[in-house]
Amino acid sequence: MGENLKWLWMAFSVAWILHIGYVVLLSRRTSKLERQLGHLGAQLTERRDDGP
Amino acid sequence: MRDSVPKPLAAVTGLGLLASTYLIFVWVPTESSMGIVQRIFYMHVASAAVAFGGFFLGGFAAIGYMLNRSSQRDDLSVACNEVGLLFACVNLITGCLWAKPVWGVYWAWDARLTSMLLLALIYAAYLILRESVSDPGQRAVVCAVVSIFGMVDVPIVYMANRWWRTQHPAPVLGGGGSLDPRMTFVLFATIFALALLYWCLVRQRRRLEALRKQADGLRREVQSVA
Repeated sequence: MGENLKWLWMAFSVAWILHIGYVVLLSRRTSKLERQLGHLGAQLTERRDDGP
Repeated sequence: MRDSVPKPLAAVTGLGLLASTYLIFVWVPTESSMGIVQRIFYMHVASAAVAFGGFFLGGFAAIGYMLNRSSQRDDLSVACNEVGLLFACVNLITGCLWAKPVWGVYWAWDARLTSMLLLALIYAAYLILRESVSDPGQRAVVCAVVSIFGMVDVPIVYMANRWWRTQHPAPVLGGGGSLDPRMTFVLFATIFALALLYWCLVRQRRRLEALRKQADGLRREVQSVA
């Protein structure tokens, strides 16, 4: 029972770590892109204002 | 996650996952020959079912892209395939951790396990390919072809333990095997909960892809103004 419980615990832990890790990764990639979009938008406005 | 996953969907998914965890660890009876370790089965099989469904969705979206070259279909295809790969990895790892106490080894090079590993590698290659082709149109076409190829491989993986002699047990879903009705119920409840989680992740991944394309467009515009 104790030995089997170890494998059960490991399997479910790994499964949830993978899922949570992926959610964190997605959130980080999304926030990074949102920051980039804000930066690019500001850059574009700046260049248009500076243009002829 | 806030913008792309509506609150009711997130709430139902959370409740579904909690309910399936309760059913797996408390409600379902313990299998007599393998004991408590057999409970890995619910996560293992449900992950495979969701991954297979996801690869089919990704494949159909890729076919849709090839027919009308809609960027949204390409976004959906990559989202379905990437999240499908996550579930395939969960299936492979939980399988290894179940095999060790039951078979005495983590891995056996039999038809079912090897074909599932190959399927996961096809989708890993798909994601690498996606990063390595720079032209957006070319990238979408090449990836759509790989996605369709991967989808065709799914039935081969599913049928592998019927077509060839394998160490892996006979299929539970549609394989004529006998399973306690309570175990069948828990399995379907887990598939449902994981399918909801899959859909939340796909929605978020689709949004990420749309943002990426928006950023690429803006970057080109900034360069053209300069």
